[in-house]
Amino acid sequence: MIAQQIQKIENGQSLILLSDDPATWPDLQAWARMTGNSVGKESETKFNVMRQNQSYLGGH
Amino acid sequence: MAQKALQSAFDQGWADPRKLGHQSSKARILKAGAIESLAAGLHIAPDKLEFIGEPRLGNFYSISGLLREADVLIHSAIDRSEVLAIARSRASLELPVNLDGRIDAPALKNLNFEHSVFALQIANGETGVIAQYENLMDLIPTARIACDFSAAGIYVALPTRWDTAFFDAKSWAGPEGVGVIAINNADAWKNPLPHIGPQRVPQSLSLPLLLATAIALEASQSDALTDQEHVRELSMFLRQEISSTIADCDIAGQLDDSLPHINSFSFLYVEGEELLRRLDASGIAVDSGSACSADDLAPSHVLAAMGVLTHGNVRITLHPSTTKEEIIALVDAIRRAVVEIRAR
Repeated sequence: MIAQQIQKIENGQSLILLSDDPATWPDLQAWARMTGNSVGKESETKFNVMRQNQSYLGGH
Repeated sequence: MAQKALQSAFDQGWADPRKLGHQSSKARILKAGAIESLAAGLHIAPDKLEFIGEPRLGNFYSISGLLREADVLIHSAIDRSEVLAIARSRASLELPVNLDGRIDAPALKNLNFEHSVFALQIANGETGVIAQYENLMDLIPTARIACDFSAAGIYVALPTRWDTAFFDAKSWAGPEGVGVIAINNADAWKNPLPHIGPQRVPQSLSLPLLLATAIALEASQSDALTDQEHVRELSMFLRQEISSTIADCDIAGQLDDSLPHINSFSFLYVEGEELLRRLDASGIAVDSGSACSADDLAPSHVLAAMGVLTHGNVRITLHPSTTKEEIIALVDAIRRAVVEIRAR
């Protein structure tokens, strides 16, 4: 889902992600590493996802 | 081979060696022979070995037997949940690991507590990563060391300094239900369970299982080196095939300095349970470290601690008899399942 939404923003822009799934933070960090984007944690359930990879095409 | 031996072991070793009598003395001889054989294979003196019928208690016996009230329990973030459970109940220090699953020893100072026990996981069972603990040991010269060999088996040698060591017969293709606890320093270890009498562990292990354990260890040693190299090549091939044919894949741990047979892959945009279901439908059974397939609905703490994706995870263990053709077929099945799931 992040993969789809992130297509709608430009490089340097961010999304807010709300989630109470315990796998969210570790997996967001892994996703950021694997796709060349960056993520931040504002609280246990609120995260921001910043697009940094111009050529990232998202999921399949 | 171990299966046939187990059958004849049941025939021969049924009698209780503790009781007197002709049958029992034969059983006693068999038991002593099995213990001597295991001692030789593990390079540990026979009188230091104890055997338990519930291997999952091995962490508890080997660690808690060393712990005194004032001790701090030092352990890594990728230790087994049994160790994490012991740590949670007392003063403890969890050491973080990097993406390769290695403890970052130089970054840690102030580790030399006056009283501590270090739970050293020699190799991680989920990812195969072998611990590099030499630098760490220099930082904790007074810590007592409890080594966990349940995944490493006989692939890795004992450290130069150790107080207890725990093995699982499964790690050398032995039977389920046999744990080996080695107590190097009898003065430092106390039976952690309430007990009457001097026995260190309940002496109720099935003798036939003990015999089968010894036989399996002997069998694994004769081909150990060539088998290891062969399996490592197979794992290299598997990892290359997966990463070159399936996009957005995370692999847990480097194959160098890891056990040769364990491979853990995580795929972006794929749900672990769905992947397992589709593989099962094509006749392939694998394990997963993803949240949706674990009993407690939490993702693998090992993968999360390493920073490896926990989503869409499959764990594949290879054997000396696995063929390249089987690997190609497996990779193809995974690729098809991943593509289908991502297309939805």
